[in-house]
Parts: sequence; structure tokens; C-alpha cells
Amino acid sequence: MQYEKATVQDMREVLAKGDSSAIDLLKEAKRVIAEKDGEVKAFVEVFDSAEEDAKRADTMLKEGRAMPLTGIPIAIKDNICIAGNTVTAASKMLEGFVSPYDATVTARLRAQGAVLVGRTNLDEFAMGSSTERSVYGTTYNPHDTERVSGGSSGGSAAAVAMGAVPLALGSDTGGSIRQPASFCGIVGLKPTYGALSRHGLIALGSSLDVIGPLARTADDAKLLFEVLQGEEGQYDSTVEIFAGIGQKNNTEKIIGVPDAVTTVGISQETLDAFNATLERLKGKGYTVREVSLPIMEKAGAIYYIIQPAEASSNLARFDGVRYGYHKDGKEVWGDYVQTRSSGFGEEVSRRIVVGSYVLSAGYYDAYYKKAVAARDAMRQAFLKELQEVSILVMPTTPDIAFKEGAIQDPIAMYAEDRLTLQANLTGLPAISIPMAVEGLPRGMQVIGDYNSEETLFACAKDIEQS
Amino acid sequence: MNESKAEDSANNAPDGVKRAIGLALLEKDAEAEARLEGEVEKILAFVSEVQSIATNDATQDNGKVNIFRNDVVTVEAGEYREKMLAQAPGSFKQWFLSKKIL
Repeated sequence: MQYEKATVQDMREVLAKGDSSAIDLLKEAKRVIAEKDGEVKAFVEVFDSAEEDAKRADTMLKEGRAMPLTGIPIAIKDNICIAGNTVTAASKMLEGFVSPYDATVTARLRAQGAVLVGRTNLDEFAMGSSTERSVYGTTYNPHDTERVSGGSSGGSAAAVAMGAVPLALGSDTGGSIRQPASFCGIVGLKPTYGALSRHGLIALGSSLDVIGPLARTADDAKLLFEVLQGEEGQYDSTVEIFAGIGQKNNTEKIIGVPDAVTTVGISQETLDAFNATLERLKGKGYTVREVSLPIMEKAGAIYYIIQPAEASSNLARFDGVRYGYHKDGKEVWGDYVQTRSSGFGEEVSRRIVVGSYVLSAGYYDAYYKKAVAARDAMRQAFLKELQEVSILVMPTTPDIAFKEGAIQDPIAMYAEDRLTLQANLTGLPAISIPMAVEGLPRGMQVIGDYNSEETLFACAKDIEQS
Repeated sequence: MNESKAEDSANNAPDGVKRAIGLALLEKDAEAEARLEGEVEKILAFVSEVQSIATNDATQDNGKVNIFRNDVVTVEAGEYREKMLAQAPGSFKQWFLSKKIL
């Protein structure tokens, strides 16, 4: 078994046969990190606790108590809480913060006996599309280390793409799992909003945030998703309002391609790859129709009101009193202002200010209230089309990964997400699968109705196998 | 109504942005503040396209409500106290420390 290319199933087999132990797999993970991560910089920290995880996993294996993820090395985005380990959201504001509790997803992974190898880099507080805006520096694309890995889950995507781990967890608020998956040539799923618990995810935009899996194959991503799914306990934040809605798993294989694909500015090479993939899917029994979704192009205007508004609220808790970074000012008020002014990076500050503005008296109606209504108009438009087709497909990103430093203008950076924002605004599940291309990776995005992850994985496998 | 409000907003942008910086509990030196104001104004111009999206009352009232968990305490008193106080920039016995307010 070549570790860098092995699937979870491959690893489970060698573990079951006793050809390798969980400690062996962890050693392999560390070997790859030692060889490649000096250049890629996916990992912020490799945990000391990983050894104990591996030992515990080996005990479970020996005692015949192995579960699907026992002994499997997994990387965790540095905005998901792991009790006893540092978590910082790649921000100075949380430097040195050690989480007192496990996120629900973390607890699930522990119960499985998974090996949490380390925490991966992200854009600060998950705000970004390149993993350039981290207090730890940039994470580079394993396929071309002059280019970015994408963001905000760039570290998790790069960790999987470079072969250090077969699985990683990321979070997706506007495309932060799917876009780096597309740039790094791997599979990334944004689940239906509420399908996985957000308890223990450092919040960015609570109506938009989801945790999701990154992997090299659809089957591996599916396994991780299924293990983490569903509600659990007192601090559960899974949401049932979408349960029972939608046609869930539609086997009719009708693809809708939104007209926006031809108007939002996708590179010709990406369009060529996209059309070629569609042809191969037709060979697998899919029919392709064009659908009209002009509201897709307005996603940026809606999203960059709602997300900063929610971020300004969620980041209000960082005041230097109970945790994290503190800088003294004059009096209590001064403490807050000095702490926040020097603790937050530029992009985070920009978004908090935009959010405060659109929620403030005199502007609330024109911006935030209007954006909420527009969001619902988008949701209705998508649901209407999903009654006629099984899935909507489009490229995940306008082009390949860009070079580090190539995008300085905030609005140009926001435009990188113009194909992924819609799934977060509507709450619909969406997956990015690598297309068969020459050169740097390009992903195809498949969006389905609420709770239709089965359909998305099935289509993903069809793309993989075509 | 909404259009004119957005126009008013655009006209008042500098004051509105300054105020928003204060609301966000941020403070920058003059140069950084001017730069931030400029960037925020650009972002606000970018999102003002939201005005052109057709919406109606029906789309606004989507019937969703905030979901709260049950207001039940499941941790033992003091169970997390040491861990949490260990994270605080300043603490005294069982309290987080902050400057006097009054």
C-alpha cells in the first residue's frame, strides 16, 4: 500500500490484517509531513496527542472493537475545537487558546478511534479564499507551490492532496471546503445546512457555516460524512427543518446547467473541461438541460451583506477578557478597542465593519433586511429548478488556483467564490469533484436538494469513474 | 423607498462607516482608518446591487424561527472552571478580571 495514495478502505484492510498498526500509519503521516510540509505549510501543528490516539486505536483493533475510522489519520481545520489542544482560527485573537471541550464532530471521531494528526491552516476566522490571510502565513498548493491552496480550508485540502492524510475536516461558509478542494484536486463536500453539528466550530456566519469532509475519493468523503452525521445531545446544533423536505435522493439522473455558467466569467479551459465532463456523464445515462437561474449572479451582493453582519455579531465575543489575546487600553472600553484593533487582521476588520454598518440604524432596512429577503428569493428559485432536475452542475471555481499575492483587491477575492456562495445562502448540499484535466486541478460542483447527499456522492462516483 | 434609502446611505457613507468602526469596537490611526473607510465603501458599493433583486413580502417572511436548545444545565457546577480560568488573560480566584466599569 502506497500511503500517499491509499484510500480509507485500503488502510482499514491493512489494519484489519495486522500488516500495519495505527502507530505505523501515523508514522507514515509524519513522514509525508516531514518531506512535503516544509514547502506546502498545510499543518499549523502536529499534535503530541496523536500518539495516544494511535495507541488507543491499536488497542481497539486488537480487542476486535474496530469502527470504520479506527486508526485512520485525520487532519482538523484550526477552527474546530479539540479538548486539550490549541485552536486559534489562525488569528492573533486566539493565540495560545487551549480548547476546554471537544466539538461534537471531534467527540465522534474520538469515539471512532480516529487519529487526529494535527490542526491545519486557514484564512483568519475562515474569512478568505486563498489561505493567505492567516497569522501563520500562506498554505501553498501541493500541485504548484507558487500557487495558493484555496481557502479558507486550504490547509485541510493541501494536507489531503499532498498525501499526509486520507481525510480532513474543513468548514464551508461561502465555499471554503469546495473551492480549495477544486484548487487542490480532491473531493470536498458542503453538507446540507444543519446536517452536521456546529457545536465546537468557531462561528463565522451561523446561518451559513457547515463542517464538511475533504478526501481524495467520493467514497472516503462519504464515509466521513456518514460517521459525523446526525444529532447528539444537549449541545447539538443540527437542524431538522430541512429533514423531510425535498426529494432527497433522486435517481432520475437529470442534470440542470444554470445559464449563469456562460455569463459569470469562467475561463475557457475550465468550461472545456466542464463540457467534456458533461459529455462523459451523458455516457453514464444522465440527461443535461439548461436551466434559468439569473439570480445566481447576485449571490455576492447578498452574501457580502449577510456574512459580515453575522460575523460582526459572532466576533463580538472577542474582547480580551475571557480568553485569547489581550491588549491594555484606558479603562474597560479601551481594553476592548485596543485588543480588537490589534488582534484582528485586515480582512476580518473589514468584514466586521461592513457587518456593523449594514446592521446599524438607518442602513438596516436597505442592506440587511433586503439581503435576507433576496436570500429567500434565491432559495425559492433554486428549489423551483430542483423540482425539474435532479441536480445542478457547474464548475466549482472560475479557473485554476492563482499565484500567491495575485489577488490583492478584496472585491476581486470575493469574486473567486461566485460559484459557491449560492449553496450556503440556500442551505443546499454541494460537492466538488476533480475533473479529468491536464495541468492544474479544476473541480466540478454538483448541487442537490436538501438532504440529497446520497445523490451527490453517486454523481461524484460517476464522474470519478467516467 | 428602499432605493432612496440606499442612496442616502451612499451619500452618508463616510459618517456611517466611521460610526460602524466605533460600533465594531475598533480604532485605527488616521491613515489606517482612511484606508479602511475606502475599502468598506467599495464593498458597500459592491453589495448595493442587492437593491436590484426582486423581492416581495412573501419572500421576506420565511416562517423560520431561531432554534434554541433546551435551557437545561448539564455540567456540574465548576466542572469547567479551572480550564476556563486558565485561558483568561486575567483572573482572580474564580473570577475573570477586567478593569473597573464604574
